[in-house]
Amino acid sequence: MTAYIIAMATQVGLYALLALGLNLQWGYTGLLNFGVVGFFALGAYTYALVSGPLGLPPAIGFLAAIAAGAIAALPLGLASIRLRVGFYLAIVTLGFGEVVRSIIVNERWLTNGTRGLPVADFFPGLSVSASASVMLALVLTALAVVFVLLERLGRSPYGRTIEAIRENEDAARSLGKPVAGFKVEVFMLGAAIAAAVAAFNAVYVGYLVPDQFLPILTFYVWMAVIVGGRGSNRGVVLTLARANGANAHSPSTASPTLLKRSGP
Amino acid sequence: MLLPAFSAAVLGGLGSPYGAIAAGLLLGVSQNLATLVISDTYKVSFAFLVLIGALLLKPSGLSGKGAVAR
Repeated sequence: MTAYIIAMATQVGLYALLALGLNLQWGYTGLLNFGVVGFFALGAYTYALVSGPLGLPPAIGFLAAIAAGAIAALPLGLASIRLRVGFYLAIVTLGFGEVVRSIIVNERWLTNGTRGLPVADFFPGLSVSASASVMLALVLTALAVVFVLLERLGRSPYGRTIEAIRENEDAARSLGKPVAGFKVEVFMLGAAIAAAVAAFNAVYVGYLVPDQFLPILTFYVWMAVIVGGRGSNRGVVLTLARANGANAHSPSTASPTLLKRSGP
Repeated sequence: MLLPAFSAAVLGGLGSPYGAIAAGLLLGVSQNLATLVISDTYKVSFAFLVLIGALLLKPSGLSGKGAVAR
């Protein structure tokens, strides 16, 4: 029973982190990002490649994953400046997610294609239950830190500016706010969070396959943000806790019925 | 299949069915001709590229009836 609860709590934590990142992009700033799975895949594979074949320590792997997510978000952030009709940005980000997966499947020399990449544990010597507990502790710590930081960010002048961008971009720009810069920053921050979560998930699942990064994952995270309440960090986390109470899957294999059933 | 559909819709201009038909034909043919040069897993990525090009160069699409932000 304990193992079940630990596994469930880890799923909730991982999903909650993803949803917090998307909440920053859509809930606070109004950027329609349908490419969450693209950043997720990039982060996971970057971590797997840096800590696997390159043999660097996990911390460097995390930093590399975060950097990869942020760098990949830069062109999309720049696109979000120009594509102010939300629908267009949604399609471009959706396409980005698919392109990332195509590249992963196709570039077999780099990612082993559909055969997949193994990912080493953080502490290889530990027993299964001990390493599950360690993973849970790490995920919950990360969740707490990211939650507190994003709440502080949301209540600060920065948060008010990005909310203004969501409500009326022209008004924000007319008041002298560098709207373009804010949008790009928010995009990169959200992407960095998603990539870091992906590195955690990569270690948790232990083996990466391109089929874990289908577009449906983006929509699971979207469901969490919409049901939890746009702009509310607490709502997002609580929704996931409630939805995942019935079943235990990792973000790579979740079932959509959980989130549908937990609706308002 | 979703992404080529969206690309065709945007390329044709969102307000016009004739634009969508023309763009769909154009996109489908060019996507498959592109496999002469690129690998076939990248077919959808080609549609994506065309979409980006259309949005950057002519966001109102072929028929000129799409939504354009000023």
